[in-house]
Amino acid sequence: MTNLSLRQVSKRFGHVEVIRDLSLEIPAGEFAVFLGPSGCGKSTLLRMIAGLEAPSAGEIHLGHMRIDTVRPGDRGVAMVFQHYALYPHMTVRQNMAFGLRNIGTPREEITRKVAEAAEMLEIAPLLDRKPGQLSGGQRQRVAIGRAIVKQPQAFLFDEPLSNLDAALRSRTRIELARLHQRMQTTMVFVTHDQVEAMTMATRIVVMNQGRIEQVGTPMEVYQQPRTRFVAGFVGTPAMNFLPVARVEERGGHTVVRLPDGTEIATLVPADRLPSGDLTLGIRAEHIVPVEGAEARVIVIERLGERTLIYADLRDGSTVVYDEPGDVRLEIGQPVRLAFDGTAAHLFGPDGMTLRG
Amino acid sequence: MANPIRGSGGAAIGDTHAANLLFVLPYLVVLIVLLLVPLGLGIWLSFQDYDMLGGWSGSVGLDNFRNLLDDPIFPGTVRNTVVFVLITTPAFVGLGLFLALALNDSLRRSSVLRAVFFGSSVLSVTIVTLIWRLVYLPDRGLAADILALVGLHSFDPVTSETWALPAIAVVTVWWIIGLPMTLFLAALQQIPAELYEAAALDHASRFTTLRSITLPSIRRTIAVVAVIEIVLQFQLFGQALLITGGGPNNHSRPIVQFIYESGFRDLQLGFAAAASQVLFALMLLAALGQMWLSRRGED
Ligand SMILES: Nc1ncnc2c1ncn2[C@@H]1O[C@H](COP(=O)(O)OP(=O)(O)OP(=O)(O)O)[C@@H](O)[C@H]1O
Ligand SMILES: [Mg+2]
Repeated sequence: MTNLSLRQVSKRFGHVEVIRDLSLEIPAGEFAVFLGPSGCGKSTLLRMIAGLEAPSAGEIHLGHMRIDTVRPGDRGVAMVFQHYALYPHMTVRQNMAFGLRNIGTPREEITRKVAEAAEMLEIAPLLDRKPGQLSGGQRQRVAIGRAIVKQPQAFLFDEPLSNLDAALRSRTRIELARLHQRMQTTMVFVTHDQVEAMTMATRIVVMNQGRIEQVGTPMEVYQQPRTRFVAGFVGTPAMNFLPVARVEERGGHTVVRLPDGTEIATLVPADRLPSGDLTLGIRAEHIVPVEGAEARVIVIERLGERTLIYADLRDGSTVVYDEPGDVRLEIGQPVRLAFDGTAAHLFGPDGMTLRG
Repeated sequence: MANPIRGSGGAAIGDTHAANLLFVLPYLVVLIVLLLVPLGLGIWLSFQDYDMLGGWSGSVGLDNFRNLLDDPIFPGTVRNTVVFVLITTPAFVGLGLFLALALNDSLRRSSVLRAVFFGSSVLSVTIVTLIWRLVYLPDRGLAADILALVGLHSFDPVTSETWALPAIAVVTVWWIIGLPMTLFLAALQQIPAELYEAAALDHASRFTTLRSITLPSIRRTIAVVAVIEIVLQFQLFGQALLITGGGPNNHSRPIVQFIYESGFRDLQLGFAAAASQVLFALMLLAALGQMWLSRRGED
């Protein structure tokens, strides 16, 4: 099987170190999504795998082959670019056949593979058009088709959905996920959109400033973020973060106090807590408006199926929680909020999640 | 109340305003006075017997053109000029493209060389020919030295019927290769880097990349450079006059020199105007032919 393995990879541009000593194993057949904010080095990492950028240090292996020393074409990877990078003067058919022709594939085989891929992506009627005569979504399919015909051991995608409108984007997400299920080929997908990551990935690699923050399944990353950065980056709305003071331990677990005086019993073991400031992280769905801390509604965001309520606690800190779509509320209305401590996270002063 | 959206002030596109004419007027005047009037005058002149000393002595119909055909020198100048264009235009396209491809990077060395190759374009024809007359000096010039290395002694292109015109072509290419190079460089920079990256992943060799990515991407520029050079090189004059004077035995005399000599030395304006019309027609035909060729290649 061909798993992708990055071993202590670094990349410097001049004096700037963009990727720092990064190691990662992607098992064969995974749909791995590199997720991170703009400028964190996702594209650079992907381009190093593709061979468009040379690592400053470290090794990259695909299956049993070390690939960081071979030319891009010899690596067994295919890439779909953000702006598709279709050859403008070639027809769709020629675009898809180009890579195969270059390695001397017999003509009949090229014809067959192109037809198969075109069939799968429903672009058969477009084969004789040029990229300039296609819509953005069609170009995007052609770019995917060009990758598919090469039957690579790994697909690399660099934000291929960012130029599509919202409806097409969510449709393409589903299609890519289906494509992956059908082909069972390793896919590496770069995005800064956490919805894309959550919906398509079998494994999310959260990156920040050239480092990996966490690797895990979408639900692992969502429910057990390893760092405060991951907790804040994954999930909409973003997790609430509140500075807290440690007050006591109850049954071995930590009890903390919010600035407004509310006490919350967490499941974090009380021993081995670091000294220094602690931060409580709690998602919108774990704040329930029954009774508890006094708060006042300041913003109401109606999303249709649910409503996000932003409310100020007595000390002025803002939290967001959600309610059903048809909730009746007004701005300025007082509410009482209960924090579900069993679902809350505690972060140490270094931003690491505190666990048992 | 629903008001349709309107642009404020000024006329909508498509409206004609007499005032707008004012803006194009200066250009129009220059065009008419300096281009259209002389062009018409030249065409009219080519059907007249007009001597600068004797003045106008009436219309002669096609006589001037018939005389051109029978002239002992003129048909040779047409041949020389066409040969010159046939040598230099491909050289400008080929060499210009080659230099652009070789220097299309951000290395310090390349930017110095780009400046060097472009530098000679700013020299005047007198300086250029001065330099090259030194190069072509028999026995002592740079060309003689180099040719001596390969065993060719006492080779003097300037006085050779075969080599005079190619020698002028070399001077010309050396002189103004900077323009086509710069046009090609500009075109090359327009090609998105992603295309080359996609080609690298598509296993394209350097040659395949050049043939399938680079050349198709700049075909418009190739056509433009070819047309520019055809039009420019048909007007060969200064270099020929100053290096060979048209010799030996008229073998490097271009049409423009013939026009100049019959008009301003022999003072036969009508005759010279007729020769000008022939040159004009040749340039028009060649440029149109080139455009037709490149348009046909497009689909
Ligand atoms: N050729 C280069 N020279 C110098 N710095 C570069 C180069 N390419 C990228 N960088 C820097 O490396 C960092 C990471 O860039 P990269 O393109 O990998 O970010 P990214 O995570 O893909 O961001 P985005 O989501 O905006 O695409 C950025 O700070 C960028 O400025
Ligand atoms: Mg990027």
